[in-house]
Amino acid sequence: MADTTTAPTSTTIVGLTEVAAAEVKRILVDEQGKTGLRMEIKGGGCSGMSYGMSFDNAQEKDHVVEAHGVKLFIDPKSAIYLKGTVLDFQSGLEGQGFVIKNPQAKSSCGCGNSFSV
Amino acid sequence: MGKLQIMDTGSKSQPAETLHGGYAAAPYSLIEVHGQDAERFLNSQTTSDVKALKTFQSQKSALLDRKAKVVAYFTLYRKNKSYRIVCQSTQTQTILENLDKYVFSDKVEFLDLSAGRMLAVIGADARVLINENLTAEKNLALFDRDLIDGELANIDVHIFKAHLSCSEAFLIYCGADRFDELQAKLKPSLERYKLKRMSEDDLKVERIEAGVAQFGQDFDGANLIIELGMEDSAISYTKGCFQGQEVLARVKSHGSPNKQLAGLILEPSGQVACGTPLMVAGHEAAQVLSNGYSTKLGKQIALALVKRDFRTPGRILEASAGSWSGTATVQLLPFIQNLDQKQKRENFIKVPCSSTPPVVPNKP
Repeated sequence: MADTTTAPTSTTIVGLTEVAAAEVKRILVDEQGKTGLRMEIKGGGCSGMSYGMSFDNAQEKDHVVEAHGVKLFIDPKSAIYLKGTVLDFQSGLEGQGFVIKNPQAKSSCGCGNSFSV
Repeated sequence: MGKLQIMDTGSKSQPAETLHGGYAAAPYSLIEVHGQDAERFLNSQTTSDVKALKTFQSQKSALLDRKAKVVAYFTLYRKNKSYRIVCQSTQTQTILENLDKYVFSDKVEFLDLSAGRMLAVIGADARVLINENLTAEKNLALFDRDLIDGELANIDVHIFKAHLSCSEAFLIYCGADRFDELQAKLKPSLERYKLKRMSEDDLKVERIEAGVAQFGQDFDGANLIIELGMEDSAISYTKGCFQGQEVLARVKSHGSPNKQLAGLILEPSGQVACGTPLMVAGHEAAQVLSNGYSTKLGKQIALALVKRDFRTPGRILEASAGSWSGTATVQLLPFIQNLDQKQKRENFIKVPCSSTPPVVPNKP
């Protein structure tokens, strides 16, 4: 299927593909009281920084990105390290899942769960 | 008083019954960690399994860089949902900076309490002394904890069990403005239990006997933590990822590191500068670290990073280190084993101090 990406801009910080948005919407239906997806950076992992994703509502000072009918919430500090990131969803013979493509990540650990900038 | 179990080093050691212990202002500092994500955050940053740490208990822990080199080494204590880090004073800023660097979305805060002071109280009678000076609650069961908050001689303190010696040891934290007062108020008890004021050298020998290496003196950021004999106490290989974990797992899978912390008994006795290579038949066998004369053992003892080929307990090496030359006997650490908690507890109940301190009944 043809995919379109909402590329991040200076104001949107994070972009997501149409496929990823469809998957978020599909799961969000079951998350009562939650209005969007929170993307965040947490300390941890072999490389020092790791990604976090959860369904949530907008908090004060959050950056709110809307794309393909999905709201993304990003706190200000995480936004620094997520700038330029595209959230995709890929499926294949080896499995399926969300893929975070962060141009700021200079290295990552063996398991791919953490990165450093 | 309690007895120390002294390993047979081939020397005629001083009778254990004459060992009392001491006290000293100790160069340690305190950091508190609060916040709803404190557990997750510390677990993700340190080498130890923080999620397994029970309230009022402690664990050795460390911060590493990506190459598994030691950034900082400390003891972590848990009190309900907050944590306390007791570290060498020289490491406080390093720890704060390294933790703060990785706070992004986590709800965690650090409280730098390095303005306070720490009093080390060491010896088999240390817990008796502390217990009888607790203002409110006097209860032997308190000493099952590694962390006690309360008032000592009517001064607010945090009391931490600490690995400073082969005897039981405590670090007592209080505000700097009341530190002298605390010592003055404890003085009658310290004298009654024959605890002497310890010098820096005394503290050094105590920790060498216990096999405790110190950051900045015995190791630094160039060392792998696995070289320092902390594998069992400070590293979790099962809790998940942390910085340096991949390298540690690789070293572990290869068996053992090239050099590792061990003990050396140097004969004849002589001070060797920390960091001096120990040469055996023209080859560097070890690096001599902190060393000093142990009156308990009647020997010059040293911590050393000993290379794998020479790391056989009991092996006697004809060696030289700087201006010293003689025999260096490789020892497993610690040089002196402490009594286990159960034995200590029995001694506490059954064996009165020779100077007969007041008996403090347990609460029912």
